[in-house]
Amino acid sequence: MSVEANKTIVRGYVDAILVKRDFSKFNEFTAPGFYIDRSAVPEAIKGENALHSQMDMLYGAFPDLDLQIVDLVAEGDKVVVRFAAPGTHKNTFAGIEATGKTATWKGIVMYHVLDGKITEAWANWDDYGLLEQLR
Amino acid sequence: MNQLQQNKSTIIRFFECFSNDANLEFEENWIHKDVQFILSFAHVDGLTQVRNLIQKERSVFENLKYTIIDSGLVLEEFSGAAFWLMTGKQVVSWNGIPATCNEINVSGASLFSFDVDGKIKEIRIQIDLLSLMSQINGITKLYNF
Repeated sequence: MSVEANKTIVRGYVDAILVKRDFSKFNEFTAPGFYIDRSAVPEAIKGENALHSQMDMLYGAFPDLDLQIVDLVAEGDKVVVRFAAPGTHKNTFAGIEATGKTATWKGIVMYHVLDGKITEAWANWDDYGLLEQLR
Repeated sequence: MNQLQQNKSTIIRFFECFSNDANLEFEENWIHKDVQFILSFAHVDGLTQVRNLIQKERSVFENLKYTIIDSGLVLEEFSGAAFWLMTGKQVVSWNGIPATCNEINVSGASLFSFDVDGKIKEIRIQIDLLSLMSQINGITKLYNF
């Protein structure tokens, strides 16, 4: 697959799975064994159900979360995305009750794409910065 | 050396500057004098301020070192990404947390933008501050609203 094709796959994954949360398309974009290694979380997010739970939790706390790709760099089978995700804190998040504040969660994620499917992601999200904005 | 190789070399060189024994007299042939260094908690404007920030980090964290992880470099003609590990020992107060002398091991990622001459013009840094704060006993502060 070309670098441009890999970028298209990652953009499609972000839009379908992370933004629209259409998990019927999960296998269209990800390979068996797909996982997300999150630096701040000891356990990787493994598979569809784990990611679905994470996204439900996140959108539950920030129902208007607007996950945006603001930068994208790719080479070979790797695609790196810089995200910005503003949202309003309307329900409990990380033990913090709703504040009504608008906060922006930021992150950089590297996706590994093999034969048209994402096999893994290394994610570095600014959880601390998000919590600080809710103080 | 093609442009991608040059960008790779420049990124590696940038991270080497954080080591305590590195020379901070940057040659402006690889980093722009008006470089923007953007962290989640700070926006540093220009090479002089970047130098000051590096010196401050070195003073806070003894034996400071950034190691780019295997397969952690992604390069294009005008941009690049690096995933890395930061190690050191916190010997000075940082972000309101008194010196703990704790060893830290924190991951992060950076996106670099290059100008047409191959100089770094912008660096966006994402560091796992939650882990860093946890490693220097700062989480109580975070939740002490």
